[in-house]
Amino acid sequence: MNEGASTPAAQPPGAFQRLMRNRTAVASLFVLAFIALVAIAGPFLPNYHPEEVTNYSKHSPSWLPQTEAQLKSDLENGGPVSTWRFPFGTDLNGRDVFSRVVQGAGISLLVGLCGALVSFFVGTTYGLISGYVGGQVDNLMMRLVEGLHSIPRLIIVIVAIFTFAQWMQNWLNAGSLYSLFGQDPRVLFAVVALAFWAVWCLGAKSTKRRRGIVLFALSLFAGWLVAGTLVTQTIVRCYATFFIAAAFLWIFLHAARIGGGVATCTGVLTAALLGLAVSDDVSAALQCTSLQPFIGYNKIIILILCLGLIEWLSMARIVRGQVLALKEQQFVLAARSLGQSHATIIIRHLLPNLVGVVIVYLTLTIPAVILDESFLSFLGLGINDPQASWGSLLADGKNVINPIKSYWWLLAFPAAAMSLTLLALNFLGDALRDALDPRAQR
Amino acid sequence: MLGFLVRRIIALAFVLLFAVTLTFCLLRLFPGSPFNLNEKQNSAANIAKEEYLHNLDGPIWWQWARYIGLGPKHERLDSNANVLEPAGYRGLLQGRFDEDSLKLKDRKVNELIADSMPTSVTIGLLALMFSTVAGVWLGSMAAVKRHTWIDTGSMLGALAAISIPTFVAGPLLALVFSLWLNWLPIGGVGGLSNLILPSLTLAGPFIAYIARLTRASLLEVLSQDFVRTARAKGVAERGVLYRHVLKIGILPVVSFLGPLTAGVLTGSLVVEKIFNLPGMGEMLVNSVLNQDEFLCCGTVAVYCALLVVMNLLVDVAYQWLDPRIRIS
Repeated sequence: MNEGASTPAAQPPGAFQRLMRNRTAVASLFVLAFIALVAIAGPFLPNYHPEEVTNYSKHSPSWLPQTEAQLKSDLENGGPVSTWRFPFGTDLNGRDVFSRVVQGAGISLLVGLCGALVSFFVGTTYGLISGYVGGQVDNLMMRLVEGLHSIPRLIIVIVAIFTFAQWMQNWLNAGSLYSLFGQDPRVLFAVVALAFWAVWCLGAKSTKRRRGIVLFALSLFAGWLVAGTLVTQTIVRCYATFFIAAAFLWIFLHAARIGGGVATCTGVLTAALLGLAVSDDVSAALQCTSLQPFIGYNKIIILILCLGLIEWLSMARIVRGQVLALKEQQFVLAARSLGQSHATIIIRHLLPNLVGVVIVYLTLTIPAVILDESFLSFLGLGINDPQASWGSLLADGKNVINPIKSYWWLLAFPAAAMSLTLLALNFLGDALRDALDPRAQR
Repeated sequence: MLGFLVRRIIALAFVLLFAVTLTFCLLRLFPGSPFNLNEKQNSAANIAKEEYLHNLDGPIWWQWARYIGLGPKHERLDSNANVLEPAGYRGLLQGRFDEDSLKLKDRKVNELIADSMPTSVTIGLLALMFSTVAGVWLGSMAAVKRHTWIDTGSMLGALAAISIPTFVAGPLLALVFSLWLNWLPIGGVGGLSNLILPSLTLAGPFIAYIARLTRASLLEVLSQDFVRTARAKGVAERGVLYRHVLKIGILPVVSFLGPLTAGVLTGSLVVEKIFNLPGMGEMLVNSVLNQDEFLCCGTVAVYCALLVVMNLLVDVAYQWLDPRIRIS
C-alpha cells in the first residue's frame, strides 16, 4: 500500500504565510509601521513645534559636537541649546527640522493613502464597467485611457491644482456650508437623489418600475413626515409619526426584500432632505457653520483629489483585464442563468476575485502619489510654507546648498525619511505581488 | 503602414488639442483676472482694455476658439494704437504661436520657448541616452551573469535607485560631485559639462528601471528553444547574446520608451529647478503662478507634442523591430 497516496499533501502555504516568509517584506512592514506611528504620535511629543520660529537659525543637529562659533552664537541668540532640543537641526527661520519632518510624514502619508484610495475607487469602477460591459463601450473607454496615457498628466495637473485650490479657498472664506454650493446644499442633494431614482426607474423592468414608483411615493411621504417632526419637535406629532414610521419601516424592509430597495432608499433620502430643507432653524444652523478650520487643509484636499485622479489609469487597465477573464468563467454564467442581476454579480462574484490584484496595485499607487505630491511641493505648487511636506522640506534644503558652508541636515533627514518610506512601500508591493501570484503556489 | 501612420497622427492631433484646451480652460477658470496680479490694483477699465488687447474678452469658449484659431482675433495694436495687423484668424490651427506673454512684456511665446527649449531638450535627450544605454548594459550583464555578485549588486542598486526620487538624488549629487569633489560644475548656464550632472540625475531612476526590465526580459528569452539551437550549432556566446537574444529581449525596453519620455519630461521640471537651468520647466511653473495664459498653454503644448511624437516613433520602431507585429 502506498502511504504517500492516502495521506494528503501538506497544505500549500497561503498568501499571508508566503508574505511573512519574505524577510524584506516583514522588515518593510515594520519600517512602515514605525513611520506611521511617528506620524500619528509625533504631534503629541513635548518638543513638537513645526511652525514655531526661534532665533536659532540654521543650527546644526544639537546632539553633535558643536563648533566654537555655534556655541557663541547660541549664547547671543538666547542661551545654550540642550542636547536634544533640535535633534535634526533647524532651518533658515530657526524652526525645528525634526518637528517639520514629523509633520511632513503625516501630510505625505495622508496624501499618499487618500490619493491612492481615490485612484482605487475611480480605477476599479472604470475598469469594472469597461470590462463587464465590453464591446464598443470597452473599446471607447480604453481609447480614453490610452489618450490620457499619452499626455504628461502631472504637468496639466499643476494647472488644475493651482486653479481648484484657489476656488476652494474662496469657498471656505465665504464662510459656511450654505455658501459652498451657492444654495441650500440639501436641495441639491435631494435633486441628485431624485435624478438617481428617475434613472433607476427608467432602467428597471416594467413591473419593478411600477412597484418602484409606488414605493417611492410612499417613502417620500414618510420621510417628509419624520423629518418635519424631528425638526419641529412637537411631542404629539412625534408619537404619531413614530407609529407611522414603524409601519413604513416594515414596508421598506419588505420592499427591500422583494427588490424595491433602491427606490425606497432614494425616496427616504430625498424626502428627509426636502423635509429638512423647509425648516428655517436648520438653514440658520447650517449658515452659521464656519468652515474656517478647514482653510489650512484645502491644498491637501485638492492634492488628494487631483493626484488620485491621475494615478488611476494602470489600476483601471489591470481591473479591466481581470474582469474580462473572470466574466467568461462558469460561475458567472451560472449566476446569470440563476437570474442574478448585474449588480449582484459584480458585487458578490467579481469584486471578491479582484481583491488580490487591487491590493497589490493600491500598495504600488501609494508611493507613486507620495512621489507626485513631493514633486509638486518641491516645485512650490503643493503644500505651502507654514505647513511642511517632505517635498517642500527638500526644496528648502536645496535652496541653501552653497560652496561655502553646507547645511546638510536640511537635506539629509527629509531625504532619508522619504527614501526609506518609498523603498519600504516598493518592497512591500513587490513582495505582495509575488505572494499573491497564482504561479507562485506551485 | 501609411494608413496606420495617418490614423495615428490624426489621433495624436486630437490628444494635443485636448491637452491644450484643458490647460486653457483650467487657467481661465482661475478666479480673478491675470491683469490684476500686481501690487497696484488695476482699474476695471484698464483690465477690460488689456483683455481686449489679448483676445481674452467675451465668454470662455469664444476666447478658446480665438486662441485655437476657430474665431477671428481683434486687430493687433502697438502702444500708440497704430494697427500692426488687421483682425483675422491667427490661432494655433493657422500655425501661429506668437501671442504675447502676459507677464514678461515685449516677449512672445514662441521666442521664449525657442530660448529655453534647447536646454530642456538637451538634458532630456542626454537622459534618454544614458538611461537606455546604461540600463540595457547593466540589465544584460545581470542576466548573463545570473546568481553572481554582479547580478545581486546591480539589482539591489536598481531597487534603491528607483526609490530615491530625483529631487533627493539631485541635491545630494550636487553636494558630492560639485561641492565636495569639485569634479563637475553645479549647473547653471554654460557648456555641455554643465548639463552632465543634471541629465545623470534625471536618468538615475530610469537606468534602474530599464536594467530591471532588460534583465527580466533577457532571462525569459535565454530560456527559449532557439537560443539552445543557436548554441548547439556553435554560435559563440557573444554572438548568441547580441545577434539573437538582445534583438528580442530589447522589445520591452522599446515599449517602455513612451512612459520613459513622460517621466523624463516631468522629471526635467525638478532637475532644472535643482541646477538652476534656464529651461522650459521653470518657465512653466512661473507661467502658472503668474496666470500667464498663453505662455502656459504654449509650454504645455510643446511638452505634449514632444511626448506624443516620441510615442509615435516608439510605435513605428516597435513595428519595425518585431516581425511578429504587422499592422495592416
